[in-house]
Amino acid sequence: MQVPETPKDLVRTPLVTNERSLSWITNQVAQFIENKPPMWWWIALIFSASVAVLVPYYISYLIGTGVGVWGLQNPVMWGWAIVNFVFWIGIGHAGTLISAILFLLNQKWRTSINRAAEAMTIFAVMCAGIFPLIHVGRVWFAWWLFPLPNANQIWPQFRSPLLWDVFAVSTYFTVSLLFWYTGLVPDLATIRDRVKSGLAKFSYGLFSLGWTGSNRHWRNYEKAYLLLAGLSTPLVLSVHSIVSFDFAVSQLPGWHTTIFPPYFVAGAIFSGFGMVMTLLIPLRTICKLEDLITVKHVELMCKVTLATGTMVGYAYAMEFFIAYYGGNPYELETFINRAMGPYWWAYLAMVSCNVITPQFFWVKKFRTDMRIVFILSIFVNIGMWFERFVIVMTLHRDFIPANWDYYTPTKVDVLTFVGTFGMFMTLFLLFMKFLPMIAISEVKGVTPQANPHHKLGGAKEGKH
Amino acid sequence: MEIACTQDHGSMEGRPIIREANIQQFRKHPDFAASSMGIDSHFPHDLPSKVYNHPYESYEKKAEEKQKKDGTTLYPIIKSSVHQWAMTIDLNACTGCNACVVSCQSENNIPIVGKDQVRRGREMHWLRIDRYFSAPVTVPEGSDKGKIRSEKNLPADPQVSVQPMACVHCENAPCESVCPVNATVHDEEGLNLMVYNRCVGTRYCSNNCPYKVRRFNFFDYNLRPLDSLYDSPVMLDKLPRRPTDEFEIAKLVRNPDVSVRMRGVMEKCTYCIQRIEGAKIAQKIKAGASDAVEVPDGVVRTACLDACPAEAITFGNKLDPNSAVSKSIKNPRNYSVLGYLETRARTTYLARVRNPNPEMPDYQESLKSPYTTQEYFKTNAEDPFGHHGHHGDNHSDHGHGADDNHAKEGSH
Repeated sequence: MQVPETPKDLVRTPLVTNERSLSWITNQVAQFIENKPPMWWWIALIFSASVAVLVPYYISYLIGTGVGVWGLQNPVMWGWAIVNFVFWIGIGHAGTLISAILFLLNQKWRTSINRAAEAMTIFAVMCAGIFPLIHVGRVWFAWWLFPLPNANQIWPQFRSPLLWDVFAVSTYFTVSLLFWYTGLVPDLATIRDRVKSGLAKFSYGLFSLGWTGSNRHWRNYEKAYLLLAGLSTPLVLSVHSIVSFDFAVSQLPGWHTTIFPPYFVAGAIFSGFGMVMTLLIPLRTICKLEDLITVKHVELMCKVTLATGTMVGYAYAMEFFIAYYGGNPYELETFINRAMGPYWWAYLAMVSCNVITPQFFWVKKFRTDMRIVFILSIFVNIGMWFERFVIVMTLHRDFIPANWDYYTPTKVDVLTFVGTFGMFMTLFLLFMKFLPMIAISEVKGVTPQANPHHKLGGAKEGKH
Repeated sequence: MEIACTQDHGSMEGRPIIREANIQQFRKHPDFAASSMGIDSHFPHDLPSKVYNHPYESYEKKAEEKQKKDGTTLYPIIKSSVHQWAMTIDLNACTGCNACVVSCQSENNIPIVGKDQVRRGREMHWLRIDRYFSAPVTVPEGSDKGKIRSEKNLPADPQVSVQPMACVHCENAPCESVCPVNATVHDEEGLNLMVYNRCVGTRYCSNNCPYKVRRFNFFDYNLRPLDSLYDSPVMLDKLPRRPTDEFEIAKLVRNPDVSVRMRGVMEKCTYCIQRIEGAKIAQKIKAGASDAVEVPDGVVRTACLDACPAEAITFGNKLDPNSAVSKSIKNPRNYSVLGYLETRARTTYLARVRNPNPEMPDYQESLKSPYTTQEYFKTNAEDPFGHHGHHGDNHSDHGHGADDNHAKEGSH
């Protein structure tokens, strides 16, 4: 009898390539903070900041004049503002998903990308938060949406999804910020120990909360991180569900569907990963972080994009099918109108970008070619903006044909949105300069030599 | 050249918004509008009340139970037992003359927004006249007459149907549940109120209104001249406002009983609440110590009703069985627009009955059905006047027989 050969252990691809040492990781991440910023950074910052100026400019014009400066009109009372809000809040989903859900699922590859993705989340939620605030007719009374005691003795209306939105988005922002900050503490201490100038030492020292790296500090830190991950996980799912309620709770054909919450969450993760890839693929090359954000990381992100993009495609198909199968003529007309009505081009852009684009990621060749992934990720971003546009434009033809009209945005709509991109990029560039872009301490924990049995052994100084 | 127009779409798309029949069909099925057109005509008659509790009823039940149990209640009874306002509009009488629109505009201080804003779809009319063109659907292939879907090619020889549309004061109002600040609420007499001072302008109410009768003040239309709506006070050295003397004169146009709304606020038909309140106060003074506070029928006349030369509009107290509006609601032609949404509109419509003239060249064609009804028949593959189409309970004499199974009927 022949004894079968013992199969060889499958060796996992290391998450940090080229057997980089622990000190190399610290140096590579910290150098961008310590050295003078390169020329491209200045150019990018000045350009982004100039574009960002559009936001305060057009907001002051809007508030001083009236929401009529936008393209809103009679049936379409929500326009680009709500489209942009949902777009940005969707982008803000990847960060917390990567840092919280993947942490709980023990996905170690998250460590290289979580810091930047969380920063992206926070900046995207900041961009998102602007829109619901400024879209109201009387901004100076927007605080009535908060349950604050007031002379009128009137509570907000707890049945309204807009109110749920206020709570959902503000909770999400707060928890994401806390989570991000908690993860930053050990790395801030690293930077504190390395910077030379007094002001920098003081500032990093202040925010690193007296971190010394003692055993007790690490224990508390890891417990806090786990708890915050647990708290954030339901939020990842709840925020976009509640955003979808803005539409699903109303009775409008095309909005009033139970498929919206899961479909919105899938779409949000899809768009979030799209944006993470758009940011990180250039970043890893420019900042020479290819050994930390490896091709494997990008490939895994492509797979998530493929999965969520296909879910979104399924939702598109199912929506259409249910509209037909449900037998409500208003519902069916709405969907036919989406695909074949005056906004057919938006529907086409949505379906082609969101359903066809991710299918390329079935092929390994495309997943591992950074240029192709970058281009496809931009299509994902475009497609997801169009998805929200298509959903909001459902308003233009509803029950009574006499109300039907065609919505066109104005210059103010477009440039405010462009301005938020400037704001987003400005914040991200500042983040690159002042904070460690990669979670140094976490990445060290997943290097091969972090394993005490590795030939380079434990936390000993590497040979490299 | 673009013409400023308040309505872009001319076809009713086969939807049962305006319900019409010919005189012969009406004689056979006087209640055709409510019982055989629209999704709600497929409901078994007692189903909606079983599936969905009416918000008033469930509330009152709770209040009564609590009252019985411990003599007090946190659910005060909010429904007035004196007045419940309602309106009917007779589409048979309405000629679409727009007098009601103008009357409403001047009564309620509704801003005039000018051509440019109308072109952008921002007319402020609380009451509007919807106008639809329809063509026969049975014309031979290739003829232009059958094109009901095209906006650009209007049918060559259309029938026109008009419908005054304002806030229908739903008892189960979709606008109320979505307002985050409680700015639109119900009062005890069945009015759907708009609290201007509380409104922050999220415009969610308008999105959720199936009738799209809410109007938003995109600018300070009252304060600013129409040519400087887009001028920002932030970027100019002077405020873009009407000159003081002009503003003083413009003020004289206003109805002192109605507030003038600022920008950023939603507004809509109030059933002329200022007239209702005026009548109630006058009646209370007259009643003195007695409890005869009920306003007699015909005293409250809304502005639209006052102006209507055809007397198509009836308004009054639904609780008084002898009021004109109660009688009008009992008319077999009475129906709710989009009744299947269970909004329980207080404004209902009396269906239109056409009487084609035998002397006219299209007599044979129009005899089949009014064109909008033909469109409805085509779109929904069901004939409201056909063998199986009629869902009324009291019409077993024309082939309905014992076959009252809706599952079966739904299959055709």
